[in-house]
Amino acid sequence: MESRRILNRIIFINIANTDYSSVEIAGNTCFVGTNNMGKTTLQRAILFFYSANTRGLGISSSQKTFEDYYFQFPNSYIIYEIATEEGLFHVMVYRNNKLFYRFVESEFVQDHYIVDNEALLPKAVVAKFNEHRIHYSDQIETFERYRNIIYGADPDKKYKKFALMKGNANYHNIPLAITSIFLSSESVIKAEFVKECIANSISSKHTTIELKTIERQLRQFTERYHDIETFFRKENAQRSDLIKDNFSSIQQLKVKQRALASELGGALKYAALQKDTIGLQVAEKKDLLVELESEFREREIAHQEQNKETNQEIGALKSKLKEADKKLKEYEEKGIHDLLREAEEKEKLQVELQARETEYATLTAGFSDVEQQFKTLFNALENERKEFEHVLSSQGLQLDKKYHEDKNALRDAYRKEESELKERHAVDADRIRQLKNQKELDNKDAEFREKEIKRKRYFDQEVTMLKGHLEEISRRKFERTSALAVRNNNIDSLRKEGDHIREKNRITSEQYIERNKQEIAVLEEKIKTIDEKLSVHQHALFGYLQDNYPNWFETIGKVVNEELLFNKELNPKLIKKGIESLYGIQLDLSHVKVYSKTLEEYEQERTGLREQIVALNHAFLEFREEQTREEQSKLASIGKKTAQLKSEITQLEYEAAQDEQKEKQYNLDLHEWQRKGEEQREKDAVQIYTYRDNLDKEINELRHQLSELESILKKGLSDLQESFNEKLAKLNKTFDKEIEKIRDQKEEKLGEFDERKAQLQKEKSAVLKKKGIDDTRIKKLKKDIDEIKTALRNLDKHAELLNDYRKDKRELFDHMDDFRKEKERLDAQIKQSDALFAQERELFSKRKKQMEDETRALAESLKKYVDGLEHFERHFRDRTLYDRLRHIIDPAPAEYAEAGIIGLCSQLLANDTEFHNQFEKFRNNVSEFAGRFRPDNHLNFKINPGAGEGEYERFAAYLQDFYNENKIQISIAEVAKSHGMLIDAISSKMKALTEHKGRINKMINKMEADFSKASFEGSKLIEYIKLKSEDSENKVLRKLQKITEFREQNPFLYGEANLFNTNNKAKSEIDKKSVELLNDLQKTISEEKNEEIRVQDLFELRFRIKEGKNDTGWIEKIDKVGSTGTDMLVKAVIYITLLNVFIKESTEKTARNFSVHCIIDEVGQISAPYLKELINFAEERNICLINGLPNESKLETHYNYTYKFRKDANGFVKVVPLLTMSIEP
Amino acid sequence: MNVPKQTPEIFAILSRGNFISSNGSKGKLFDVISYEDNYNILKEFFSHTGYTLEQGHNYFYFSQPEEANLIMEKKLEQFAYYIDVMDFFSSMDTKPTVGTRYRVTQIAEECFSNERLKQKLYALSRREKMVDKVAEIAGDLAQAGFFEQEDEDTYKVMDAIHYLEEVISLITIEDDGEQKNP
Repeated sequence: MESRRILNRIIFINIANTDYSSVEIAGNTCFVGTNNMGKTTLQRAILFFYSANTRGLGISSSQKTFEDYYFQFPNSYIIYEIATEEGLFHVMVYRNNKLFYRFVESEFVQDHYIVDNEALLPKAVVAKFNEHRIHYSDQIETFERYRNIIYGADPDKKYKKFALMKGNANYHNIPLAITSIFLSSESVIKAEFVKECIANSISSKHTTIELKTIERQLRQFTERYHDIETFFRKENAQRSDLIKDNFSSIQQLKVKQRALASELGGALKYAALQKDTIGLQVAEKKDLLVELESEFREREIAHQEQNKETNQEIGALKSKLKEADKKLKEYEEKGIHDLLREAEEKEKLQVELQARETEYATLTAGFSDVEQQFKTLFNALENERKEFEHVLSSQGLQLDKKYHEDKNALRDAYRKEESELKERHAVDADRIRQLKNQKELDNKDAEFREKEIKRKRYFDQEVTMLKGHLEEISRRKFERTSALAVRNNNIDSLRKEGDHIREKNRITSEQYIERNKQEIAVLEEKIKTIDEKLSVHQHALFGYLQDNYPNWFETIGKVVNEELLFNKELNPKLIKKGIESLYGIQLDLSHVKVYSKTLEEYEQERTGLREQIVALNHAFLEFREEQTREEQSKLASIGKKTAQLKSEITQLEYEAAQDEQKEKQYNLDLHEWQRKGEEQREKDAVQIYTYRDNLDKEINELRHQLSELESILKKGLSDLQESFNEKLAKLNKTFDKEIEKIRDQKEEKLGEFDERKAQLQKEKSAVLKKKGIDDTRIKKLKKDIDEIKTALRNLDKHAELLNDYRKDKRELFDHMDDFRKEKERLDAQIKQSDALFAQERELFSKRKKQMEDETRALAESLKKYVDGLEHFERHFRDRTLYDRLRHIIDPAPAEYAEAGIIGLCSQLLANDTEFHNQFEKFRNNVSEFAGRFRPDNHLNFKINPGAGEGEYERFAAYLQDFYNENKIQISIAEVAKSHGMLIDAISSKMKALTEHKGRINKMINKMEADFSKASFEGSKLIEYIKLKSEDSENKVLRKLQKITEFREQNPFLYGEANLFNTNNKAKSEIDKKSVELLNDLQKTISEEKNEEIRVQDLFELRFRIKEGKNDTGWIEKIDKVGSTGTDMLVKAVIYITLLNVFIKESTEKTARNFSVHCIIDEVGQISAPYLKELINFAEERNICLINGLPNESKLETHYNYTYKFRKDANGFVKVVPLLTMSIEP
Repeated sequence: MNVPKQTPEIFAILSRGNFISSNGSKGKLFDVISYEDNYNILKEFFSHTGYTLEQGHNYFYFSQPEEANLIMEKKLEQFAYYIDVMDFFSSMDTKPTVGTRYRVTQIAEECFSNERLKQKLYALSRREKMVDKVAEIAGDLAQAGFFEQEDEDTYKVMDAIHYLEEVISLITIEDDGEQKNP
C-alpha cells in the first residue's frame, strides 16, 4: 500500500491503436520506443489525467482531435488507477458523444471491462460494478468538475476521497505547469512562461485587465467627450443660433405662405364669383343703355313726326294767309269797296228804273183824261209805295233773316271755337298733368331712393367682413392676453420647480457624498489596518508561525488573539516541537473555532474592502449619473414644457404682432371702405338731390304750364266771348243800322210819296185848270231812266268780280283771324313740344351718362378680377409652387382680398424665393453644424446625405429640443460617469494587480531558494541558477499606473458631474489632465496592440545561470546552456523547481502526501549520472518523472518502471514492461 | 518664442500643400493654431521656412510668395481639374457646402439617373466602374484637403472648400469681343 496519493496505473482499452495495455507508473517511469510507436499517445493520456483539457495537449489542428483519436469506439476507455493511503480507486473515461468520467471505488479489474476479450459498453461495465457491489460515482460531465474532484477543490464532500491532493484556489497552476513542461520541454525557456506560471500561481483570471474592454470604453469615452467638446465649440453655438433663427424664419415664412395661399384661394373664388356677377351686371347695364337709347330714339322720331304734322299745318295756314293777303290787295286795287257799295244799290236802281219807266209811259200815253190820268198816277204812286213798302218789308225780312242767320253762325262759331279751345286745352293740360304725375311719381321714387341712400350701408359686405375680422382679432387678443398670462405663470412655476429640483438634488448629493466619504474612510481605515498587519506579519508572531509552525491554525490559531499575532516584540522561539499544551495545560480545541486568519484571508478581506470601496465609488458614480439623469429628465421635461410654453408665447406674440398689423390694416381698410361708402352716399345723395330738385323744378314748371294753360284757356275763352260779343254787337249794330236805314228809306220814301202825291194833287188841280202839257218833266224822266240803265249795265259788268270777291271773302278773308290764331296755336304747340322734348333729352343724357359711368366702374372692377384670374392662369398655375400649395389654395372659401390676385401671386412668389434663400442658408448651416460632429456621434446630430427638406427641419426641431431640454447635460453626466468609472476601474484593477507584486517577489524568492538547492552538490554541474525581477517595460502598464497615481492624488476632485465646467480653473485643469491621460492610454493601447494586462506584465524576469564556465548573464530567455545534454538538464531542473514551487503554492499547507508526474520527453541526451541526479532532484520534491527515450540504453535503469513499445501481429501497440523495480528504493 | 508642441505635425500637413480645416479630423490642430496668439507666432516661425501661414474662413494653409513658373502652371492645371470636379459636385442635388457628407455609392446612383452628371463624371475619370470614378474624384479632393474621407464610402466637405470657392469666384472671363457661337 502506498503511503502517498499517486497516479498508480493507466489502462488503455481500445484506445488509439492499442486494444489493451496497462501501465503502472507509480514512480519514475521511462518509455522506450522508436518513433510512431505510441509513446507520446501514452504520455498525452497521462497529461490528460492532470489537465483534463483536450486542447492543451499539443495536438496540432491538422491532427485528429483527442476524442476522435483516442476514443474511436463506444467501448474505448482510459482508466486511471490512483493509489491512496486507504487503497486504490480508479477513474474511467469514456465517450458518449462527449467525454465522461466516473470514479469507481475499487482497483481496476479487467473482468469488469473485458469479457471474452471484448470490451464492454459503459452501461455493461456499470452493470458489472453493480453486480460486484462496487461503489461508483455519478457520471461527471465536465472537465472542470473532474479537475475540482482530482485536485480536492470540489465542495461536495462525497468526492473528497477521490482527491489526489488538497489544492487551493490556485490548483490550476499544477496542471498548467505539467502541461507547459510537457509542451515546451524541447524549446527555449522563456521568462514569459515562468512569469505566466508565477502569475497563475498567485492570481485568478479576473485580475487581468482586459485591454480590449478598456480600449472600447476609452474609445466610447473619447468619442463622446469629443462630441461634447465639439458641441461646446464657440462656432457651433453660433451656428446653432443661426439654425434656430433660420428655422424660425422659415417656419414664419411657411405660416405666411399658408396665409397668403389661403388668401389667394379665397381671392380666386371671390374673383370667379365676381366675374360672373359683375359680367352679368355689365351686360344688364349695357342692355339697359341700348334699350334706353332706342327708346329715346323712338320718342325723338315720334316727336319729330308730331312736329312735322303741325309744321305742315302751319305751312298750310301760312300759305292761306299769304294768298288771302294777296287777293285782298288785288281786290282793293280793283276798287272792290265801291263796287260793292254800287252793287248794294242795284235793286233800288231797278225799282227806280221801273218806276221812272212807268212814269214816263204814263206821261207820254195821253193827256186826255186827266182825272184818269192822275188817278192812274195816284194808283201808280200808291203801287209804287206799296211796292216800295213791299221791297222794304222783304228787305227787312231778309235783313232779319240774315241777322238771325249771322247771329246763329256767330254763336255756332263761338261754341265751336270754345269747344275747340277747351278740347285743345284739355289735351295739353292732360299731357302736362300726365307729365306732372310722372314727375311726381319719379319724385316719390327719388324720395324713396333718398331715404334708401340715407339708410343704405355702403360696401356692407366688405365692412361686415372687416368688422368680423376685427371682432375676431379682438376676441383673439383677449384670449391671447389670458393665454399669455397663463403661460407666463406656468413658466414661472416651472422655473421655481426646476430650482427646487436642483436645490433638492444638490442637498441629496452633498449628503450622499458625505455619507459615501465616511463609508470609504472607514473602509480605508480597515484596509490600512490590514496593510499594517501584512507589512509587519513577517517580523511578528504570525510570520514566525507561518514559517516554523505548520498547522498552527489548529492549535495556537485557536487561542491567540490578533494583536498578539501581529506583535513584533514577542521574540517567539521554538523550544520543543509537538507538545500540544498552553503553558503546560492541555486543551481540547477540536470544537473550538479558528479565529485567526490566514494571509490569504487577510488579503481576501482587503480585496473585499477594496471591492467595497470600488462598489461605493461606483455606487456614487451611478448615483450621480442617475441623479443627473433623473434631474435632467425632470429638468428636460420642465425645459421641454418651458420651451413649449416659450414657443407658444413666441407664437402668440408673433400672432399678436401679425394681428396688430392686420388690425391696423383692417382698420385702415374699414376706414377706407367707410370713407368710400360715405363718399358714395354723398355722391348718390347729391345726385338724388339734384334729380329731385330738377324734378321739383320740372313739376313746378309743369304746374306753371298748367296754370298758364288755364289762364290761356280763360283768356282764350274770354277773348272768344269778347269777340263773340263784339261780333254780335257789331251784327246787332249793323242790323240796327240796316233797319234804321230801311226805316229812314221808308220814311224818306214815304215822305217822298206823300210829297209826290201832294205834287200830283197839285198838278191835277193845275191841269184841271189849264188843261195844257208840261214836256220838261218828260225829258227829265227820260234822262233819269238812262242814267239808271247805265248804272245797272255797269253793275252787271262787275258782277263776276264781285262774286269772286264774295266767295273769297267767305272762304278766306273772313277766316284770316282764325288762320292766324290757329298758326299761333300751332307755333306755341311746337314750342312747347320742343321744350318738353328738350327736357326729355336732358333727362336721357343724364341717365345715359349715369349708366355709362356705372358700367365703366363695373367694367373696371371686372377687368381687375379678370386680369387677376388671367394672371393666375398664366403666371402661377403652372408653377410647382401652386402644386405645393394646391391643398390650401383650392379649398379656401371665397373672400375679398385687398391685395388682389396679382398682388397675392407676386407676394407668394416673393415669399417662395425668400423661403428658398432662407432654406438654402438653413441647409448649409445644418450641414456645417452636423458636419463638425462625427458621423455616428452619440448626440445624434446626423443628417442623411441627400436628405429632403423634412429631414433638415426634423434636425432643427431636434436641435431645438436638445437645447431646450438641455440634453447635453445628460451626455455630460454619462461621460462624467464613464470617465469616473473608467479611472476607477483602471485604478482598482491596477491596485488589485499590483497587490500581487509582493507575492510575486516572494514567489521569485522561493524559486531562487529552490534553485539554490539545485546546484547538484555531487557533480557541481550547475554553479547557480539565479532569478530576479525588474520593473515592467510595458508601455500600457505605465499609462495605467499613471492613471492610478492620478486617481490617488485626486481622490475626489476628478471627474465631477461636469467635465466641461470652465468656471473652476483648478478643477478644469484636473479634468483636462485626466482626459489627456485617458487619451494617452487609448493611443498607447492601439499602438501596442496588447490584448490584456496580466500579472506577468507587472514585472520583467531575468535568469542568470552559471554552468561550468558558462555564465549567461541576466537573460530573458534560456536558449542554450552548454551542450544539448546540459541544456536539457538545466531546463529540466528549472521545470521541476517551478513545478515544485507551484505545487507548494497551490496546495493546502497540510503535510504533503502525494506525488505528481512531470512528463519530459526525449531525455536521451542526458548522461546517466546527471539523469540520476535529476531523478533524485525530482524525487526530493515528490515529483515522479515520466521520460521518453527513443532507444534502449543504460539510462532506463535509473527508473522505477521502464516500458518498451511494440506492435503485435494485429498491429496493436503493446506496452511491455522491461523491468519493474526501483534501483534505489 | 514658444511654439506649440504640435508645430511639427502642423508643418508636416501644411507643407504638403494641405489644409487644416476646423471641421476635419485635424480640428484640434486648427484649435491649436487659433489659440490665443499662436497664429502670429507660427506665422513668424514658418516665415523662416519660406512658407507663409495663411488663414481662411475656418482653415489654414501655406502660401509661397515665389514659385517657379512650371510649378505655377502645374498648379493652374490642377485647379482647372478641381474646378471641373467642383462643377460636378455643384450639379448634384446636395451642393458641396461645408460639412456635407457624400457617400460614393449614393453619388454613383445619382449619376446613373442623371445623364448630365454622368457625362461630367465620364469627362473627369477614366476608371471603368461608376463607383470607382466617383471614388477617384472624391479621393482627389480629399488628397487636396477639400474633402476628408471618413470611412470607405463617406467623404465630408471641409472648410477648405471655401478656398476653392474663392479661387473660382476670382476667375473673370474676359470678353474678347469675338462672338464664336452666334
